[in-house]
Amino acid sequence: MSVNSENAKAQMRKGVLELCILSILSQGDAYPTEIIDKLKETKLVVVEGTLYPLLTRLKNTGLLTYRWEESTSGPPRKYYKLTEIGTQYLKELQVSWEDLVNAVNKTISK
Amino acid sequence: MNKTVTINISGIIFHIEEDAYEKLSKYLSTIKGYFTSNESGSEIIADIEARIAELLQAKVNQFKQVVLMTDVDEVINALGKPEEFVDGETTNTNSSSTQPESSNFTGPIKKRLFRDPDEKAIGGVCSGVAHYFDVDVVWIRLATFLLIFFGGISLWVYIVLWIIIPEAKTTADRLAMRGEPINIDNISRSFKDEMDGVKNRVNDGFKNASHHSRNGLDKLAMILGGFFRVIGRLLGAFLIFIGFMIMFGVLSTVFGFSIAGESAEFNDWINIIFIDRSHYWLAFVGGIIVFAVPAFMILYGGIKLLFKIKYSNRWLNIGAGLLWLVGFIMATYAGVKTASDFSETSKFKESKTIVTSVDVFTISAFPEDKLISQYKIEELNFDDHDEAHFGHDEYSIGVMNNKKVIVGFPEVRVINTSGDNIEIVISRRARGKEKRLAYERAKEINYNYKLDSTGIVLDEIFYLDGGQKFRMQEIEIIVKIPKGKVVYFDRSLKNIIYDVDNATNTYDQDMLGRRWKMNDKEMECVDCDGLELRDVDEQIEEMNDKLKDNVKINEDGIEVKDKDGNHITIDEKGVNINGENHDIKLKKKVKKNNDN
Repeated sequence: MSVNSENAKAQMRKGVLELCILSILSQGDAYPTEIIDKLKETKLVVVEGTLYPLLTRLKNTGLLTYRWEESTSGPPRKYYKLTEIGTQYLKELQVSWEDLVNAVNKTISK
Repeated sequence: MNKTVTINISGIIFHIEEDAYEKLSKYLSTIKGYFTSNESGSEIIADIEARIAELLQAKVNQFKQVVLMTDVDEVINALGKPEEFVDGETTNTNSSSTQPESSNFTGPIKKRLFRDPDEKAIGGVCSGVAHYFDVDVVWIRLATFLLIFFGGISLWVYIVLWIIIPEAKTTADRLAMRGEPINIDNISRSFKDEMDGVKNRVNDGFKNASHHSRNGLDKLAMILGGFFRVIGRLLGAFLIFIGFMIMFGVLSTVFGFSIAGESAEFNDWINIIFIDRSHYWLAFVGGIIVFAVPAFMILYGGIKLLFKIKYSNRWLNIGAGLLWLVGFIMATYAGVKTASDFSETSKFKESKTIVTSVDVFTISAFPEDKLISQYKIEELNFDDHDEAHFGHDEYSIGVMNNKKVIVGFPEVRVINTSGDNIEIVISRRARGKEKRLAYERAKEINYNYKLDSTGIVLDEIFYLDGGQKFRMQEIEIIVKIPKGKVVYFDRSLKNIIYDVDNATNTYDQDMLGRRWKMNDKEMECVDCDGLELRDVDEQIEEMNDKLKDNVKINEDGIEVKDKDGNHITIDEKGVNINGENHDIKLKKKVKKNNDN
């Protein structure tokens, strides 16, 4: 197995990306560009392309829904919104994320 | 100077340098290549295209109207190489493929039917259903238990559900399992949303189709998909209903037969009609399978459609098909085998010429009850509902010498003969697999009659020896009467008299208790004294019908009139006789005419 820290980082980012997207949407509906902008602030997204399949999947699993909104400057925008299940799912993820962070921190600091 | 191309991305027009266009186009086709295998590929691609359009739009303005190679490079850098993001998707797809709920519907109800492995008693079906309808599992279990006694319906449903409902394995499954409760509000909302979804897709489809018709087919497929999903649900509910009805029918049949199986008469008939007991069971079990298997599969399909369960089990389908075939063969075999024993009819005829000098030849019957005690046939009751009717014939099963015997009534006909003497023909009839066997059976029917000084006494019943199968055995007695002979039909013939040719078309029952004389071809009544030999009720009814227009008797009085207008009335005004014959009428008319 080759040691590739870049790959490991990418995998970690991908793992938490779902949590981040759901968190962003829990603060209000957003269309992909807004989500990307917020994620870019936290340097979680390196390439935007990652986001689209992920959003589609979250929508398909029923965590998100979307509606179309006309844009003055470009193509119509897909505004994503958390569903009930999505909200519940996010709560669970947040809890397990905190558990994970604590556990990992303990493990690392030892 | 560079050549530019005009392109349309997500409905926005761009002027782009030819080499930049080529790069972008190649990039997009690479992305498409990665996503075509994905179920929502076209949607992801449309999203990416929209983002590209947005990014490119930021690169152009009033002064810089053309998209350059550097712009495209920046866009591609921002979005990333397809393999970078596709990689993430693939892992995601893998993880989500273990959750079979990743179907593509967009309604707000994401609640799905799962079996709950944490709260299961048997297969977790009840707890899953309880979660789905948000009721306490106790009630579902109780209902399931009680419905077992309702023809075992819940047993079948439980098995279907166990097979087709997936177990909640992942957290997402468990969430979806518990999600929003399903009630009427939610169902109607989900239905509305689904319809809205269809509408949106239609709108999207038109909007985008006007921009780039390339995706038109995809959109059309999406729109149609939406319609079919709605129809699919309705169809699913309908199929469940149908499946239930058939299943219920099958189960109540089983139930009914198992109750009937307790009854001795039912068992007697089974034994006496079927070649042996095993044929009955073959026919019974086969028949149940032939109906139950399709009912089960309809129920199964309906539940799958309604709850959108993507489950397919090849072995279940093959198994059901094979089971049905086995049932069909069983039922057909037993049915054909039994029916073939009824296929041929044969007659065994005996005739006897009766030389008699009596003036009036009496035909009478030796009654059933006396015969029964004479033959020592027990447990026989023709008045009971157990008797079977086959055509005109009535049969019943009794016990003689500890053996079951079939008892039936003969039919008596009286016809004319050109001979000089009375002749009696006893025609025994039966059915069998072959003529020969039918003939043998016919011969074995026990039937007797006696001649005495006044005429003939016919037994009112015939019987089959113990152990004989029921094969439509019947007896026809034909009494042939020569011209000029007078016959008295005794009233004891009432149950067996079947047809007597007579000149007055008198009902057979009305001919009893009277003397009849044979003429050239039929019988004429000797002592009917001009009476119309018809049913009294019918005569009264006919009379009333006839008088309806002429005689009226009610609380107002009495009115009797004829069709010419002559009438007598007796009412509160007194007695009024209004006899207008033609002469008077004519006079009045003439008078009137003269006045004019």
